Amino acid sequence: MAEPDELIHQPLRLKIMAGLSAALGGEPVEFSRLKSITQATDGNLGSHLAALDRAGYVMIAKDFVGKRPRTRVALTPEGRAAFRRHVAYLRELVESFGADGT
Amino acid sequence: MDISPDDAAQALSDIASARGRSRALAGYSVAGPILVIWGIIWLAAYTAMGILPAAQWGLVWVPGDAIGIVATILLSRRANRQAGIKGTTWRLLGLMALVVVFSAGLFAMVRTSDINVYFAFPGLLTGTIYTALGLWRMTRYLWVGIAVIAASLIGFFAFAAILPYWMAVVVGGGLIVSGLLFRRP
Repeated sequence: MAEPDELIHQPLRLKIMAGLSAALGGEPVEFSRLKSITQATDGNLGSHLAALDRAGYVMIAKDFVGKRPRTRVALTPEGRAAFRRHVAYLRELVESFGADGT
Repeated sequence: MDISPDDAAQALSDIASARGRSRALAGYSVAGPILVIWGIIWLAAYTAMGILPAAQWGLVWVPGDAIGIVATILLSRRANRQAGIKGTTWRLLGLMALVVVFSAGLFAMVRTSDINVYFAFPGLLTGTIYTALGLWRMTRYLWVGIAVIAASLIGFFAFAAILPYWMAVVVGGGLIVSGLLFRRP
């Protein structure tokens, strides 16, 4: 059976990882769009992204578009793999409960 | 770490919702420029319809529609490739051909002499397609569709004397504004 990922299994981090995993072509997602996807506040989103960045699950890039600062986030290969494993674990858990527990 | 099956099911549901929102927002960022381009085409072509004699309307609409179709295909192709969706070009062309066949068939059957029907009909049809798209997948299209239908009908019934200019500014301009708003997260 797959193993759970304690770092990912937090409601907002799950949404962050899910939102990033659905980005077209794995392209980086702007902070403002990620905020809309997760419906989180700036501070909350920032602190959870920092945790995922420290774990090597996401890559955060900051630059400027003209004079406007821009922050973009993308899953790293390790992050994508960790997310897939965690989703597989969740699915196995639900399916095994459905087979044995109902 | 102890996760209950109920927690797991809720987590999977949250994941699906977040992925859906992510895809929808990505779709809007692709659709936004397409709406802006069609809005500019409508603004120019309807204005020309107000100025030029009917025999010359094709001189504006044919190249305008060609530009719009090519731009739509090119702008959506990259996004669809990244999403692993194939065959979009042919589906888009097929949809546009369907619109032409439907419109031609309808006017062949109805045979109206009211020129304003020809002015307002594209707005009514486009708004209906957008509304259907909004009901099915991308909610922002719902509001654009309803607004385009409403503007077309209001123009037809309340501003008949200036309908081509109404369609240019209100509907064409509305598409431009909608396209710009689509890009917002």
